[in-house]
Amino acid sequence: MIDLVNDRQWFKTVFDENYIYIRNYIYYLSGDMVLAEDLVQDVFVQLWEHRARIRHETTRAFLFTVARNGYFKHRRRQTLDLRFKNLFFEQVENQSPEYLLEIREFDEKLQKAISSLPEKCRTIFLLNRIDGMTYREIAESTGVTQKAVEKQMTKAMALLREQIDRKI
Amino acid sequence: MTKHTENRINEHISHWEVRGQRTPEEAFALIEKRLEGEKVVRMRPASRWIFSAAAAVVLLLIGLFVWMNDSGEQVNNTTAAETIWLPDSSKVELAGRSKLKYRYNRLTRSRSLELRGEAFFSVRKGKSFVVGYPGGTVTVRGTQFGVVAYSGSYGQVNCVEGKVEVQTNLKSVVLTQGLGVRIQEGKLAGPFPVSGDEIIVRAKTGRYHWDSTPITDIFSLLSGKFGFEVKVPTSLSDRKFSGDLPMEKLDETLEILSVAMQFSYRFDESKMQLTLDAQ
Repeated sequence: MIDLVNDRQWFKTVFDENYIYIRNYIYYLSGDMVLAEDLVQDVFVQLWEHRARIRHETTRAFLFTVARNGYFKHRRRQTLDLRFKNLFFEQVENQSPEYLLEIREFDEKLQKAISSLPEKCRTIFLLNRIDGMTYREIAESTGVTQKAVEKQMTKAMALLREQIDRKI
Repeated sequence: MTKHTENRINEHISHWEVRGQRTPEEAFALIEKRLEGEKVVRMRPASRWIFSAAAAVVLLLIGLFVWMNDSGEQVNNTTAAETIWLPDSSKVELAGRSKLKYRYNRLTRSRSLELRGEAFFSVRKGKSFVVGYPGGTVTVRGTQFGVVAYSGSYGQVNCVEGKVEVQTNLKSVVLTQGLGVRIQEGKLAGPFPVSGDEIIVRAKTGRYHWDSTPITDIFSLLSGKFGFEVKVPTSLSDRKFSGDLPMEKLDETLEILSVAMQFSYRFDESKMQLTLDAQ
């Protein structure tokens, strides 16, 4: 029997715990926030529709899988342009304009370098560094082994270093 | 150099965040809206025929409901009476400034009506025939009767043939041929003898015959019929009127009444208010 009240409470909890991760994940894949916010809606609607068949411990993996599949349906081969808000500029005080300019330039380079990373490498790297997901959590959510996550992280950092150093 | 770059990257990224265009709360509200609007979003192929069958049943039921319930509304804004034939072949003479809603259920053959104004009914024999009006209901089976009910403050039911049960919130009374009741503020007065064709004559000609009727009754009927407010001063309230009175045109009615009953009046059209002064 469907218990709508409990289902709604469960749904809200899952939403609160996962919304940002899933939205960001689609953003890391697509570089398109409008698409990410549209697709994340579909992901949670699917969660609601399939709620009777989802096990508690695999909920997040389900969300990531649906998000990934949803994104591949809309995938377009294009150059990514990921944009991140740098809170440093909102908090900074009494810094010289030269220093700020240097930070801004580095910021620009890093954003471009991250956008150019291979898809798997990029998403795993950002889920760890921006969303603070552990290697284990990423492995469980995206359906890869923890070893593979470690490997992708090392690869991402190596590629970024290479690009930044080259540009500097 | 490379370790330094790595540290710098890590330090730099620690200040980053992803900014969406909507907050999680806004996103959740949108999802909830979708879930409410799309309770059945996707179906498995096996359940599609069930859906089609259910849709066919619903359409059939809607069709049956429409067929079963023949309903309508008749508004007579003129001053002359109109003859209306109801779906069950009952006949209604609907007086001017009156409105009648009706519903006929073909399955149960029950007939229910709502009247605001004045009408004379020649009811075809059959199942229950119920007329609702401000302040009560009239239930009959195959008969002729008249109802005057412009508002809850004054009404009248006359039974011309057969039996009629008149109900108000407080009381009910069964009228037989040649009897009538008055309903004032939910209270029944009567039964008293009535002339057989009184209401039909009224409905058709607009002429009312009153026998020693308190002036307050006449003004209650007029105010309901023409939609104005009136307060009859105590110096006038015990005066009684006898005779014929045309009641289709308000100015004509007031002119005759004021001369016969010796009062003056002012009618404020913007407020729809009538003020009376005894002479």
